[in-house]
Amino acid sequence: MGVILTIISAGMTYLSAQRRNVAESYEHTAGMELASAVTEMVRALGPGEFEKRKERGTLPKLSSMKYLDGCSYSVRCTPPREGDTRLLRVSVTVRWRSPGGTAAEAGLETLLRSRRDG
Amino acid sequence: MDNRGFTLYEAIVCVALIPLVVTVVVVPVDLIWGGITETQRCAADLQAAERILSEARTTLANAKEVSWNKNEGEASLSGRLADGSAFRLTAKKAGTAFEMKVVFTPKDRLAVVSIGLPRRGNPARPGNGTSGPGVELATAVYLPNLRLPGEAR
Repeated sequence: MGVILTIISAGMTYLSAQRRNVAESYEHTAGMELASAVTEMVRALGPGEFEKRKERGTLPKLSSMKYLDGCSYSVRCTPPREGDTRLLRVSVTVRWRSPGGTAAEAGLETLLRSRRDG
Repeated sequence: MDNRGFTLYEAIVCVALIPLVVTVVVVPVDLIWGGITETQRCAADLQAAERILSEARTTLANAKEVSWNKNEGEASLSGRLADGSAFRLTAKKAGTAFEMKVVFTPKDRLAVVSIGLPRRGNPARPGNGTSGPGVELATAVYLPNLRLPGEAR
């Protein structure tokens, strides 16, 4: 009986670890996709217009945000070199709470040429 | 003659033990095995959704012409790629497992593509996989070279 209980207990532990791994990889994927989507919006709108629309709440909706607990994102745009306005370094950080309550984040830093300079 | 077969008492005990064995061994093993299979399906769903999203992103990024239909917040996009071949991305259910939505903002030339995974795709909201999207992955695609219907060539 002891052996059976040990095997069952090990199985439950393994299952729980597998579930946690899948949940974490889902969240990380969703977070990275969100960061990529936000970067693409900055590229499309330009940093100035992006900020304006973010404040007004008129950016296109990213429906996956509601599946990440307490999800928020921040964007930082800086020129890669002093005085160089042709290129833009866009850093997007997405933050959320993992099911265990700990903070999690995914980040993406991209160098891009803004089509519409805001 | 020495008879070593089961006595009636031993037979009754054996029959009585069957429910105990089922409860203690078979049920937990079945639960664990089912859970592991479900978790593997979740991981496979996630990989497939990533692939679909990546394909949609690549397709849209190469689009040169596009037309779209909007219906209750969902859209279908179709058009031609740079090499002249046609493509079509629709909002209707792709098979039974995933739902794809494309919301296109012509003014910004921005398409938001989202893939809904079945409910089992979220371990926090498990289900049988047929109860609609439990989770979504969304991405945006900027289409700067896109020629919209009615625009000059």
